[in-house]
Amino acid sequence: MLSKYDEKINSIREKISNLLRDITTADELSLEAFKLSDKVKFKEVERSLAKIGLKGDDIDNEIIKTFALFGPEAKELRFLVAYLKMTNEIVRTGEGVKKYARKMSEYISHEFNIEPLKPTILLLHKSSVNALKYILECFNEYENCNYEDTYTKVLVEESMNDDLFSILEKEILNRIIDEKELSIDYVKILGSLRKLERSCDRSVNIANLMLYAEQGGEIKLFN
Amino acid sequence: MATIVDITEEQALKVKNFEFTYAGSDEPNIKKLTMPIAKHSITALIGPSGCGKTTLLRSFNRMHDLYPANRYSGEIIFKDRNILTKNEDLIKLRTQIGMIFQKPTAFPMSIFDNVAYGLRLQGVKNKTELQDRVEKALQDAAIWQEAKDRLKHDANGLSGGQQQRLCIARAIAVEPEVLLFDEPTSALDPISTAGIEELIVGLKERVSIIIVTHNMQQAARVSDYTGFMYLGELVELSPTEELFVTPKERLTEEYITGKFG
Amino acid sequence: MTYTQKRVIANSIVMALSTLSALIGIGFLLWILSILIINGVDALSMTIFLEEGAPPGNESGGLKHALIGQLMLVGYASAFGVPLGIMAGTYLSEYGLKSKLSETIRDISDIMMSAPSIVIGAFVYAIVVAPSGQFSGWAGSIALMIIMLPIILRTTDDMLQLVPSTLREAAFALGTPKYKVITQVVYRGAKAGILTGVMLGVARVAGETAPLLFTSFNDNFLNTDMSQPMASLTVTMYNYATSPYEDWQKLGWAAAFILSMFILTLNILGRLFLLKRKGK
Repeated sequence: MLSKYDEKINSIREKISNLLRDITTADELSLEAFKLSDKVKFKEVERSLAKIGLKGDDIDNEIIKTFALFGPEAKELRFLVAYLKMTNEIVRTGEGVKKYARKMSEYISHEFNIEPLKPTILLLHKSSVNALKYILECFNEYENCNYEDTYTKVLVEESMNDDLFSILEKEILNRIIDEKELSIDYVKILGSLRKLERSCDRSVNIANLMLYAEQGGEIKLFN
Repeated sequence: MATIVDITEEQALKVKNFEFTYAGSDEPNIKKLTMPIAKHSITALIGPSGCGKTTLLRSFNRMHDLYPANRYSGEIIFKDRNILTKNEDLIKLRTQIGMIFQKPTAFPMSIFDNVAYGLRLQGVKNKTELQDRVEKALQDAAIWQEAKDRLKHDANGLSGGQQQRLCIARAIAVEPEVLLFDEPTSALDPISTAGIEELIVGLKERVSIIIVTHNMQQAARVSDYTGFMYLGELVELSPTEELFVTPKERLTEEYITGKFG
Repeated sequence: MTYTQKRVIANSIVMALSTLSALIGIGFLLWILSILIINGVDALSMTIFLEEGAPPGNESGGLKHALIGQLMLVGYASAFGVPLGIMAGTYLSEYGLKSKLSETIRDISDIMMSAPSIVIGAFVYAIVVAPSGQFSGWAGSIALMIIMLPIILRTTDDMLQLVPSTLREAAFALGTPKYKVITQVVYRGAKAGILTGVMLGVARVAGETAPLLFTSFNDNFLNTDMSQPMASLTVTMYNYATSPYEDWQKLGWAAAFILSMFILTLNILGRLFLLKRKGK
């Protein structure tokens, strides 16, 4: 295709890469914030992700224009479609990170005793961050990335993530039984933690989309 | 009635109430058309056969004057003057507004003489200057590598795509301000077409370009502004990115989605 | 017999008949050429080119006077006829186009091409020879020029029209004035075709006899003064061949041979050029 097309694609890729990086960095910061119970850091996470919705819209509009103007086919078509759907997943992930930061920030000040849960939560969070990192690394390698490999790695991370979440779920349910008056708060915490679990699921989707773009066939996000 | 975008940047040409009737016809081919052309951009004219896009293009360099009895009225403003007046210096105008045709039109002479033709017309005699300017033009048209060892050979030995590049080199050698392309790739294969399109995009830094094409996808790929014409009228002129995503006129939408034409 | 079989047989019969006709036609041509060659080569010798005409019985009779005379007559006719024909053809193709006047000129030109050359000779007699009181080389050249003109005019017109209009437009689009478009671009494109027309025109008039009878008449001796009667190969050939003298008759054959070879060569070259051009 023309260099005009290449310019457009590169611009879109750069925007997605930046968005992904911002969210991954924010997620790592969120992890740090939770480890150190640092409200300031949590605030920073929220601030850095303030405009991700708009950025996502911008990427979507650029992709739509590219479709209209260049009518790509085959691999180019698949990648463009993958980017369109990926942007959605990435923005949702970002929104999740933002909400998690906001909620967790509140619970720290609660002097709520979640210390015993902390190690597991950190592990859960770490695996979500890892999944995102694999995605980011692969995305920036473009043609040189081994998509199969990445997909497998993310899948592994996701299964570990699921197990950790189940453990936490059980723990929290037990606590609810013991401390009935805090049941609402515990349920809310579980809701927040679910965001970490969802983030990992979305990373699997993104890896799946990249694999589709590379290999072709048909999109199969819901296995 | 038409939707014409406001061109805030500098304009290369402005068409004002231009009407054109071919010799021997009663119906005007172009009806009171007004249209700005942005500088240093590529403006594409699209529309079904007979909509008047080629007629309009050929009015910019007064090609119609070659054939007697055509009638026209209105104004086309170029460099602060109306170029449709009787006392317009056509020779000078055509060195400022060049044209590339649908069929490659290499002159029956050597490659060098082809590119130097316009320069010699203007009185350039100095051998070194000619050689330098010919080389530059051939490089800008991305055909220097293929031509540099055959400069004295007849231009008819080149392939279709190469001849079209030669014609482009010939046109840009005289450093015009505007270049008119009349379906420049419709006689070429897809690979040559892609090459010419890339070349055209690269030229817009130096020239303002108007390209008539019956290939919508080409207009979408290449141009900054697209004008859709129908039955002698300008229906819509919008930035290309907008026109192909959200055309403002229903007629434009129908044409683009292939409902007619 | 089936319909197909009938058709095949009919086909074969017609093919046989047409081939036969072609062979007969070619046969006559070959016959003429062979007679010419046999008799002409026999009479050829260096004296022909070096000696002027002499009374019959004289060993040193030659054709120098006729050859030079022919060259001068045809030469002057071409010198005026060729540029005139090319310019007229250019006018028709580039300026007149399809106007009423141009079409009329083309029609008249066609009619003139098929006019009997003797009529043209008589015409020139009336307007040049009679008023001036004598036959002259000029009159002969004028007659030849008139015969040559329509041929060159038509071929130039046709060849120029073959040059695609987009080529002209491309030249105009560079800011070329009309006369330069014609001379630098269109002429170059039609070069071969115009040359062919010129060659065919010259070949045609080189073989004319009748018009010269009324205009340049003839001379048995070398004369380079165009205002006087002039010898020509054709008329000389006529005179010598119809004379009762054997050596004159031999010279007549030689003249016929030289003339034929000249015209044949010119024609073949002309048509080869045309083929090459049209084949592009």
